[in-house]
Amino acid sequence: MLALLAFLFKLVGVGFLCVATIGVLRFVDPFQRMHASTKAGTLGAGLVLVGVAIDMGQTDAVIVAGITFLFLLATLPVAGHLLGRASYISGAPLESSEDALEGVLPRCEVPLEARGEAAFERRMESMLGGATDHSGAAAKPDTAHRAAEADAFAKPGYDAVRFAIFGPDAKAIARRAETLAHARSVPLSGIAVIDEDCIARAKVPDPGEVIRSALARTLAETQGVTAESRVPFSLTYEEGDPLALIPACDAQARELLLLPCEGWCDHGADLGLPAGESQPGDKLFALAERHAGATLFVGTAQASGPVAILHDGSDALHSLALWALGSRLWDAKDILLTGRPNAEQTEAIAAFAEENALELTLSDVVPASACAVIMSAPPARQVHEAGEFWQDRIVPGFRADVLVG
Amino acid sequence: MFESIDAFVTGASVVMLVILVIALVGAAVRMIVGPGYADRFVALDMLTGIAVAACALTAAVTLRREFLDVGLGVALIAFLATVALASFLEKKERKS
Repeated sequence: MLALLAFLFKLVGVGFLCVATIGVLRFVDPFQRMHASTKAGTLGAGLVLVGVAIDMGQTDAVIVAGITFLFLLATLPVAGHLLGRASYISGAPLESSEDALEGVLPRCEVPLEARGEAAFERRMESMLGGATDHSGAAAKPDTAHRAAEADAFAKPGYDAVRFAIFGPDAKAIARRAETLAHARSVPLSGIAVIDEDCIARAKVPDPGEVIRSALARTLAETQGVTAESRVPFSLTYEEGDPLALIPACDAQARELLLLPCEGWCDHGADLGLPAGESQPGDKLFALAERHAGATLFVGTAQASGPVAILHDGSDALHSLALWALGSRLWDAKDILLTGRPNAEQTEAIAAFAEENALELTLSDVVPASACAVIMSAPPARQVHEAGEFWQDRIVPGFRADVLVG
Repeated sequence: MFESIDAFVTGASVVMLVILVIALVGAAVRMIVGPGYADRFVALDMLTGIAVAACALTAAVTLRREFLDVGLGVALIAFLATVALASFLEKKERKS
């Protein structure tokens, strides 16, 4: 009798598995196939296991079969859920006319397998398109302000250099700022700010003191550089909101702002913020956004390659690029033009290159060896977005300067 | 009477194993044909499910319970593989 019962279980199980296989073969999209494989597949495999356990009868066999059965029951729904979610996010084709998850989960327009070759172009596209997207999200200076900014780029040069002092290491940026200020003989100012918000949110006792002592160490180190400054140097120290204190608001002042590629006004002090919470450094790009004038993110690497212009076709970026080249921010003799400049802009840049004996190359790719990239806005909203450092979005491994408008 | 039933059940198990092999081939076809990564991963899921059942049936036919351990191992690996592949699909999206 037991043998018959076992036989029945096995038969029904194998039947379900066959039906599931037919489903996987014949359904039209991955989600329907998943429906067949996870539901009917689990039931089929489970029934076969139960049948075999009855058939074998020995205690140890029954225990192992039971464990496998329970394990299948526990894991297959989880695996199916994860796979379904990942497929949806990765943009696997969905044949059904309505998309119940629209707006609930982010979804790629193109499935993974269709990316490959065109991936770079699309990456570029999103970077160039991201610029406008970016400005919509944050509070953006009005158009009059924009126009004033464009005016400021009309003739090369800058009238002042300011740099942000972010601990724990600000020596490199101070040295760079001093060089740039000396090249034009303009005043240099360093701004050290302690972010009130960081103090308020910190989870360690007496955060104000912790940050102040971290900043004091940084300032002592920076002093070695600024004391030898060949141009007038002023140091500002404030506590408050860095977004209001660091950027210059007057476009006519033609100030060049230097920021490190990462870091914030907590000066590297350990504030014990939970990893899941938004980190203070996430606001770094908002500084560049608010600054009236050009912002230079000083890279950590010394590269000898060309200056790459990532052109989005806008007039703002065009004037920024010509201004930056005219101001001789970098010594490079090569310029690389990429993105989508219109014919007129390409010509203007070519004419500029010829006038100044520079070598102009048109290219589709930004090389990782570029000594600087000029673009309209950072390619990400945060320094680390989805675990990826923002400069890696320009080109993986790129660590040199980035100039944004 | 009982002997004949036993013989029938064992014989039927062998037939079922052959049917499962056909199902395995079906899932493998889906895995090779695709067309997308998601389809291949779903097919892999299906494939391992059938493999667990086949292991159990082999244990019943040969009367060696070691094959049940193999089935448990396959089930464990299948879960890990699916989770890893799912996270791969999701990560890939975020990067581009």
